[in-house]
Amino acid sequence: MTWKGLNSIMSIILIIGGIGYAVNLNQSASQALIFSSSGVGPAYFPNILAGLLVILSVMTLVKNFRDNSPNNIEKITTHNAGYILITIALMVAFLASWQFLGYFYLNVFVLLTILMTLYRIEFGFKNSLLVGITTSVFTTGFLYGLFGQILALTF
Amino acid sequence: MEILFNDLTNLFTLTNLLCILLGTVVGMVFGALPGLGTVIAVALLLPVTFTLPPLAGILMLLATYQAGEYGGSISAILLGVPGTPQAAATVLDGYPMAQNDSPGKALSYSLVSSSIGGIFGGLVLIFVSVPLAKFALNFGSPEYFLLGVIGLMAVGLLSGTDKIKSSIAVVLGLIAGTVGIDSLTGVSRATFNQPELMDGVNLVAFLVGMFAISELFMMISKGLNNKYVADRSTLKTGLTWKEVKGIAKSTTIGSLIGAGTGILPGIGGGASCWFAYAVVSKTSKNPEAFGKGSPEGIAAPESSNNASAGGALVPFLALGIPGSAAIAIIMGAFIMHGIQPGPNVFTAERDLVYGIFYGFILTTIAMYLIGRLLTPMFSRVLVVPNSFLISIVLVLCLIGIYASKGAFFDLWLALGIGILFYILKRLNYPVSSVIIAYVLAPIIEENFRRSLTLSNGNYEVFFSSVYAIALVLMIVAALAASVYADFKKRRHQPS
Repeated sequence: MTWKGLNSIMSIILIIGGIGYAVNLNQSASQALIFSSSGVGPAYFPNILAGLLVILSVMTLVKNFRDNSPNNIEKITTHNAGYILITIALMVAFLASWQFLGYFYLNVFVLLTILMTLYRIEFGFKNSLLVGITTSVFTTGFLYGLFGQILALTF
Repeated sequence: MEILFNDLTNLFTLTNLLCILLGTVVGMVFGALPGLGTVIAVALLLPVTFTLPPLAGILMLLATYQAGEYGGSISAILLGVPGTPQAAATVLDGYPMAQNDSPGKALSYSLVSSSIGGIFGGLVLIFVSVPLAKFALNFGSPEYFLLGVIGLMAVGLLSGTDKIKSSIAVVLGLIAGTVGIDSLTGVSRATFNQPELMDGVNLVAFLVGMFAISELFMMISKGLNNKYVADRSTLKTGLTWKEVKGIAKSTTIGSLIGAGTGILPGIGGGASCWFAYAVVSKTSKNPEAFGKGSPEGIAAPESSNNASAGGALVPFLALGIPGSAAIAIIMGAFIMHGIQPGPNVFTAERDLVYGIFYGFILTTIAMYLIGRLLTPMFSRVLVVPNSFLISIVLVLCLIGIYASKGAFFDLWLALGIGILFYILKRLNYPVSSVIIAYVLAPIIEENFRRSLTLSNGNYEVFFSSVYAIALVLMIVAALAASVYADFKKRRHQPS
């Protein structure tokens, strides 16, 4: 995808977001006018913001559409894009596991081990796994000592 | 003069001193690590302030902010990679001095000038805030609304090159600030039927997602196992009296510029350090040494960025207008403790305000002492590869978010915000504008609606006093200057 494409998609998302916000706002704050003696109810200011967001996003969309400079039509390159996606997937798995199964510290240990092994995979799997496990044990232990024992936080 | 004779026993408590110590260490470490920086450090420590008394929590964040400004220079000097944007100008002379002469000497110039700048910023804070707050007591709702707009315009117009994207960032922050139960009527707004959003978007989730999680994705794309190599053999810090005298002029100029620009919302340390560097290099007796390891070239930007930290607290405390992302997060700590910065805080929370005044100077002293003792140790963190940092900071982010409210919803929200803002950062949307707008949203909206309600919807209320007219003229002038600058830039661009 090019920068132009991503810019356009983001503008469209913002336009949809602005409209969705306004719709939800006017539903949830439909009693707005009851509370206002001068027409300035709880939805008044947010409606202005929603309008501004849509207008500004349309302006960006049009500006971007007309911009054919080499920078804008260049293809997007994201170094380590795979690692970013895997990190997001691991975060989703971690949060789901923590929320539905519990065992926070076990989840932390597993997440740290996988992340460090993965991030250091260029040094070889065995080496990375060993370093990952060792670091995770110490880090999880430190977090347990600090948050679980000293600050007495329950996760 | 009452400010000079204030009881400081509240300041020197063990909790406050320990918080300053913790904040200084965290700030220095995060400031030194390229990619992390001061804002992330302050955001990560924000949940910790929940459990602390207001003064201790705020001093911890201020100590982090101050120490982060110096910490940024550690990597700038040792590696040639600025740890924070505010340390970018320090690279020009700090790195050559470290290479050609002594890294310890370069760090000493940075530490001494940062400390002098910090003290200067603290004095400006003490002596300018009170008169400004007294003056601001003349303001009513229309003036506060207009002040908020000026704050937004300053960050919106100055923080990004693309004015439309900057404006979108500001509007996004304002929208996020309006979610939840309306404080004036009790009506819920844009909560999408999520009970977790009734109290608004969780500040910690919003901040950590926007600054920390998105930045971690950025760090992954910059490289996971970059290993920095730094010469740590001669890192002992210390200057002779003669050497300190040699940077007196540049430190004074840097401090003046830093404090002055810090007071203006939206400019902050990033711009002031370049401004200070330019002025000092032009007025120096030895201009040819700049860029080759000149002590003055280190002292000017370093004193400037620490002085700007004190300057930035002036409009924040006196008017309730945060001038930078880090100050906006510190404002979050005030709000979480139910304190609204602004002129009334000087009477309602007198001990707190005076504690902050003198505590800010104390944070600078802590920065100097810890910097003297532990700079060689902090320089060691530079060799920790991103693969370790990212994994550990990620887990700390999640713990911080959960600890703030104990809601899983906030964790999912932060992840979503992190992904969204990673993309927005890549598309050059200035994200610091979002957080400033977010914390200003309640002030702007409440005063806007109160003004219109009192005037029965008549917009002339915004021109009803001399102060209001002056503020409107300032807004018009800023807009005109921005449009003119854009026009001039386009004319000079090759077609």
